[in-house]
Amino acid sequence: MKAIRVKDLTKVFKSITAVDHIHFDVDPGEVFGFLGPNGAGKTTTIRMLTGQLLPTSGQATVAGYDIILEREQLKMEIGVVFEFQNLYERLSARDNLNFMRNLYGINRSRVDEVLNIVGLSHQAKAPLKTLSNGMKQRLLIARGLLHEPSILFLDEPTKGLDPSIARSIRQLIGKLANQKCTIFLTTHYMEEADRLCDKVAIINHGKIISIGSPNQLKELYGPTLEDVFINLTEQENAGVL
Amino acid sequence: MNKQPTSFINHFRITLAIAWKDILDGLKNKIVLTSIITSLFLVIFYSYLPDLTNGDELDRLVILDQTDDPTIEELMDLSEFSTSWVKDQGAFLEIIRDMDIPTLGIVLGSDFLDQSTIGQPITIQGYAPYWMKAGEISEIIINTESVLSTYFQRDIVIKPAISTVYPVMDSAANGKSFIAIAGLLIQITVMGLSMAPQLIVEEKEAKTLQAVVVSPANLHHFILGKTLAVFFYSILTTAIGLIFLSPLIIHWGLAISTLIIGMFAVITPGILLGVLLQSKQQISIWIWVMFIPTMLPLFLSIVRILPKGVLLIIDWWPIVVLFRLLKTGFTLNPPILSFWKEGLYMILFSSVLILLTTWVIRRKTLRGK
Repeated sequence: MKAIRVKDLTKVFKSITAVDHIHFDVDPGEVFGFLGPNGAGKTTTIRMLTGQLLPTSGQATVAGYDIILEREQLKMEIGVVFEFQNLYERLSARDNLNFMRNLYGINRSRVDEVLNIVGLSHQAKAPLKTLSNGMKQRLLIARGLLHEPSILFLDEPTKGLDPSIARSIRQLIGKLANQKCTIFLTTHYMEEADRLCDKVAIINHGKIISIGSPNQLKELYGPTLEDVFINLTEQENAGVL
Repeated sequence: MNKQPTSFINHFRITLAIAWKDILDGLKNKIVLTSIITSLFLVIFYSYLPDLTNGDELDRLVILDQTDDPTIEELMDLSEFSTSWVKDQGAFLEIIRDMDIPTLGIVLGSDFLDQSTIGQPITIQGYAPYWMKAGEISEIIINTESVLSTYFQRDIVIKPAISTVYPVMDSAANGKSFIAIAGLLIQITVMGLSMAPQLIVEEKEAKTLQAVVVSPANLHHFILGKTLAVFFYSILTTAIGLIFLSPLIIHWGLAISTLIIGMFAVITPGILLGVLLQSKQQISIWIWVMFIPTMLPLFLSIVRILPKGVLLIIDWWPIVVLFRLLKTGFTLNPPILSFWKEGLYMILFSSVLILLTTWVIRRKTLRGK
């Protein structure tokens, strides 16, 4: 069974087609990179796949569950790390996780486990406002992992972070990938995608313009993934693709 | 991990988790603190308003003159008191009911002048509003007896077992109980219309709502959890308000059940505002847009200066109905039938609002918003 299967998925906001008949599959344990410029449709796709937004048309299953008809079951199988740091600022790191733990109905001990995984055990009781951006990003990942999801969606997890913190987040993602967690990653950083992803899809103007392993794409379109991305998006913008 | 089935217990656990977060977070949340302090200030300010505005005013004396002597009012020098003379017992009781500061009512019976010539102490009947403390009553009685005894050169005794004047439902008099009831209604309205939408919009602005809805919680859990949290804080602040107003309450059961019905009636539109609005700026405008038409009819129903047709509508405005309901808790012999009729009206009103809110949430859920 595919971890994610997307067929003809489309989302139209009034007259704007944000996602335009996209198809792709993600295998279990795979790190799937979803690359594209701003406004390409990455976040809209994640919102549909995580049950936050209903598609206009098309079908998709995540962890075997239909994203329209089985949203409640789907939620138990996915973890989502948003592109913004949507944490409860007045609560400590541990209380943020405890709140989510109560929603999922899972054991208290799991909070300490995930704090340990992301390296925040010593900051567990600290008020959130005293944590750095990098620590908050780690806490977001801890929140996504809390209920041991089979698929983790990471929406621009290193966006806006300084290079050393971004590197530590990448190392954490790499560690999760080694544990055979399926990861759906959107990013602007091609080097990040090249290093972390088993397969990438490039989306522009709501359409997937190419899909394959980083090496396959580099063989076809350019020496680096950045070249691949620029060549493909420019060709698509020029109407060549 | 343990994948849990959807069951009532799970729904309940999720809803409680959302409510509990806001309850625990309350003391650090300026929205909660501001709402609690504002509502407590209003009810405490309202309950002490008469004492604050009274200052060093003279004691109030209401005299029911049943003597046949038309000159007695002019002859008696009662400059130590702020005095009202009436000839009619109904008007006499209404004036006492209407008082919001310590007041003594005395009856100069038809035989009062005859008694004053016999050489025995004159005994007269005293009346006091039900909320006056024993100390206040004895103080004003001693003062009145002293002044009257000096004037008539005779011992005058105001009956130690004075008659207590209670509010009645069909009375136009308002007095201290009106201030208390209005204070409580303003308190629950502030909590419902201010705290409820702000707690929801706060999560929309911080985008924490998105984290909640990708968890097993859905919008219904979220809204119900927020409702429970606001309900908790409303009960807490109302309980504190009731402690301050306890000398005024006659029927605790009726007062508390009305306040619970009232909380549902005002929290629900607050929740609806929170569901529909997106920012705190929008809320600060809409709170006033909602608050004025919610509360104003209460005062218009008291002053009754509007045309009859308008007053008929005003008399069935939810806050005015709630006022009448709450008044039963402050009334000696409340008409229970009236309580049920108006109670049912408020329950239906709240139910319609709950259904409307549920419908709006369902639409948003179906659209995946």
